[in-house]
Amino acid sequence: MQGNLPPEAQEKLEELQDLQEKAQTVAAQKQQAETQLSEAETALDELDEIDEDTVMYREVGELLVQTDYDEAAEDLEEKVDNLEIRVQSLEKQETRVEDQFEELQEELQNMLGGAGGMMGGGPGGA
Amino acid sequence: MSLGGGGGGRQQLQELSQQIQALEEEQAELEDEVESLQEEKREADEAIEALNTIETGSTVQVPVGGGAYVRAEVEDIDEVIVDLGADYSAERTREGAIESLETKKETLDERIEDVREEIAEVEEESAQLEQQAQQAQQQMMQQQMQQAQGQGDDE
Repeated sequence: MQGNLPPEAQEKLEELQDLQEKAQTVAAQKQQAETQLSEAETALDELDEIDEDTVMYREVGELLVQTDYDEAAEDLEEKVDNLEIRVQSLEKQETRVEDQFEELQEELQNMLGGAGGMMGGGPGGA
Repeated sequence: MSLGGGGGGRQQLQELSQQIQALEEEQAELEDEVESLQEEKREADEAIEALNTIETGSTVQVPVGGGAYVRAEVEDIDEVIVDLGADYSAERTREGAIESLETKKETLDERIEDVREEIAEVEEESAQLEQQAQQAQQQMMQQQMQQAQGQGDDE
């Protein structure tokens, strides 16, 4: 099918496929960051429930290294802040890729005279 | 839904079949995730059961791998290291550790519920696409029959 397309359209189609892959990568990164954020928030909530003189441990590889409550709380708060920023930045990136995808899809459809059957769905589509 | 010529119909069917396959793969991944979350919940249950069973001074056999165990004595049941997530663990009393594990189970239940909702959405989308594929197939067959009839009439 792709072999029958004019070279310019084929180029656009390849760009579209690249964007689709990029969208999937960004979506996966966002999901991973959201999971880490939710885990850090849960740990911070748990920390609120326990005494401040509790002995804490931080996992380093297979080891549990002793640390203190304040250090753990500070580190987790920083982790939450950083992950919130990362999720926001990935959301923006996701929107940007979606916009680029739609723009390119429209260009390609116009180029092919509205025969857009082969390009169903958005960039993040399954 | 307009299919255009027979070639367009075949192409649409192929696209639908690819989309359905992608959704099936996504559903399988989500089902694996539910299974792994349930496994984590079972482990939390086992830990709660163990904490409720052993006492300070209890003799236990600690697994060292390969089906081998070494005998140990619990020094203090109120010194339990429990994972809080995000690479942190806390030393808690038996009650505190059980509380943490119960909270973990609740979080896991919520996550399982979310993933099950995602599975239901994927199933619904998949069912819609299958319906579209059936319609497209029927339409294509009708067109082929009409073409065959037209050729027969010409002869």
